[in-house]
Amino acid sequence: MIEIKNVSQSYTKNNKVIDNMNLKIEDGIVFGVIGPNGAGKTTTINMITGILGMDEGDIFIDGKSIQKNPIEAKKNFGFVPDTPEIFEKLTGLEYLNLIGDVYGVKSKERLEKIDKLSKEFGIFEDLKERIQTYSHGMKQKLLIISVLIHSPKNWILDEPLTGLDPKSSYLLKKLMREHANKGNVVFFSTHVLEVAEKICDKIAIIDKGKIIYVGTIEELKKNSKTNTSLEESFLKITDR
Amino acid sequence: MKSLTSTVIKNSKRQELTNTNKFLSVFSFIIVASFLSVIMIVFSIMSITRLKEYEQAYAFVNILFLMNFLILFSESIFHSLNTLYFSKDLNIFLRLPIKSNDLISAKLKDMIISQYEMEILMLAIPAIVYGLLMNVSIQFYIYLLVILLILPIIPIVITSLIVAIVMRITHFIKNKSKVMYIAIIVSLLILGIILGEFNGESNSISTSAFENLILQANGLAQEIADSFILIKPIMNTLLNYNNIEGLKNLLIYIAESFAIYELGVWLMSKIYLKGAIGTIDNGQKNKKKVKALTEGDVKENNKIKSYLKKEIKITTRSPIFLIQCIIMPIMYPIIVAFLVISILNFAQKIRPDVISGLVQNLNNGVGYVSFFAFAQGFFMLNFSSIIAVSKEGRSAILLKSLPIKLESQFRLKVMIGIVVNSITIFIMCYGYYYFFKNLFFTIMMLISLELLNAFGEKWKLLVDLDNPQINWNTEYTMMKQNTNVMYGLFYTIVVIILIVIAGTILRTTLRTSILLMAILIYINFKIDKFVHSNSQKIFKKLF
Repeated sequence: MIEIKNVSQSYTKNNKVIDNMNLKIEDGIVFGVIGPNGAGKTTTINMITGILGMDEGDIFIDGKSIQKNPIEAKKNFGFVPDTPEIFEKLTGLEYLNLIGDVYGVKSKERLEKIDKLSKEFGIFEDLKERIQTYSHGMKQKLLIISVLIHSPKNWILDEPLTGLDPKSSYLLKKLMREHANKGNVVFFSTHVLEVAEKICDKIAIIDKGKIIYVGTIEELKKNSKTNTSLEESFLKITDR
Repeated sequence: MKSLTSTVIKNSKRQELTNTNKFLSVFSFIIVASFLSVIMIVFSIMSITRLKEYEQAYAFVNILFLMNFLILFSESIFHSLNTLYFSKDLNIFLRLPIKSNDLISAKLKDMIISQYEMEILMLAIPAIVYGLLMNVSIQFYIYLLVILLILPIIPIVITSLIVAIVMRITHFIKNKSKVMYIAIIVSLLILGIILGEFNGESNSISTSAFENLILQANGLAQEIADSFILIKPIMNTLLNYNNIEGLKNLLIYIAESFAIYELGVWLMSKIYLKGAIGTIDNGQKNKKKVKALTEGDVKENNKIKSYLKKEIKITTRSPIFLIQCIIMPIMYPIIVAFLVISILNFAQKIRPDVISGLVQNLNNGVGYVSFFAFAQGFFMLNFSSIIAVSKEGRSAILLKSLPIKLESQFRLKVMIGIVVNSITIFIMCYGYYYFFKNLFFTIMMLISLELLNAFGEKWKLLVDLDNPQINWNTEYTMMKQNTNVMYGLFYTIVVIILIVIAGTILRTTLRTSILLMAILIYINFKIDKFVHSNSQKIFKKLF
């Protein structure tokens, strides 16, 4: 479970990028955060993962505060950032081993998972190449595998489908659904509304640092009285 | 062309700073620059006065320009390699309809302009001091200004041309790091041969002839000017500023620089594109494919060991980082140690009394701290910790999401710097023991130097974390921004001044060594405490 409580954040005085945000993501769902560019999606994810501090409030990952108990909180999630920039001088396998060591994944389990996932995502043959030679999509796949090998309860993914080929995109969506069905949390951001519509159990719409809607897509459509598409409801609610 | 040049320059200089940071940055720059300027002024006055006593004051200008010219040459290899071939902006420029000579010209201008900041400190200030002490007329300063503006052209164009040739030949190698290693080594060799050829005369001079030159008024200046034909016109311009010879030589140097520039750009434009395209090719061909994974491939490690291995790999797998953070800081003290040993052996043969007198005179607090001063000078040249976070680029952000304490990550990041500096420490302690044969003080020195080393590396990392350059365009640009010599020099001079004052006041080795160790333990304790209590805060700017 991920809980955001009264969180505010500003980069400069009197300009809040996140304004008193409150959000509770229960176990067993795929939760999508959508919003226009610059709405605060990545900032929110950066705060949840401890990359960015907060001026007010707190965030809890399975009850562990990211501010007061960061190490325990960080053990409970796996994170894929929006730009797949990983330690370029390492090979793909070295990076996965680093993550395996940091999260204490046993070598037998590690071997099985790396073998299976890298074959499914189509980067197995390139595992001993340096990451600097990988394409954008390959780096994205490597980051996704690095999250999956330590089996965290909560997945936090920032625009995870960007740069993926159709097969990998399909596979990831399937894995996200399976993970949630096992009683875990998949929290991800996207600006592609069709993706949110297809796989999210619940969504939050962020605009100008504020959550302007939380609920199911059906409820959103119903509330905005547009029974056609999420896109229309989204545009209506964000006034764009 | 103008727009392209300005884009290249802006792109290479851009730093993301808030208004407060900009103010602090400008403010600290002014403080540091003023302090170093004062040091340079004092150093210049002392050197010129001493040379004047031997009627060799003119040699000051020649030595000054010669040193800067050689520094420019060696620095230009890294600079041109990174700006012309390993810059991320090439991915954009190479797909635009820009002629290769325009792109080369823009990049060369960027490199030339970037040298001016350092020239002001290293050349302009000492040359102005020289002018004031020698009562020169306004013409000297006008000539000096023109020379400073065009001085970087020849070293940068010649080295860039050598680099371009090497890159053209090696463009078929797909491993970028391998290409860079080869380019650096081959370019250094070619440059060494070229400079050696130009300076051949100076090697053949005999000891007696050298003594005769020294005895002649300004004979040393003349010898230097005659030996280095590439910069002879500069030297002759400034030494003959008050007659037509000066103007004639200035015009020769301007013509020489522009001719080399035009010729260099023309030659490079013929070979540039293939080499540049070779470096942005991500090396997809001829890869070794993984067929199966074994248990050995996924061996478990302690997370701390694994993190440290990552640090070492990132540093050693980049030629720029490896050379500047490991090879150079190890080589400098070793080379200097060999030089000192040779000089001492020579002196021992001729005047053993001088050496024994020196040892006796330095067997006190001042002698003890002088080893610290030298060690600190070498520590300054170790850039591992000052780029420890920035070297990872945007991936440094991921560090904060890992379940490893930020305080532990801080400690692990300074490890490489501390270990590399230990070579210097070993040499210093060995030297101290060799001269003074005192095991107790040698051990005290070993511990204290390690404490000074640890403090300095932690300080450097704090500086990096205060303004992490993770959005770099090239490894070299980031390295240059982070290793701004002025700030390193400032820290080093402050440390040396404090240590020397301590040694002078306390006089005896015992008092000095105990107090120094106590202070170093205390400041290390303080900095550790600061990192422990403020780990979130010190990593705050990393996002």
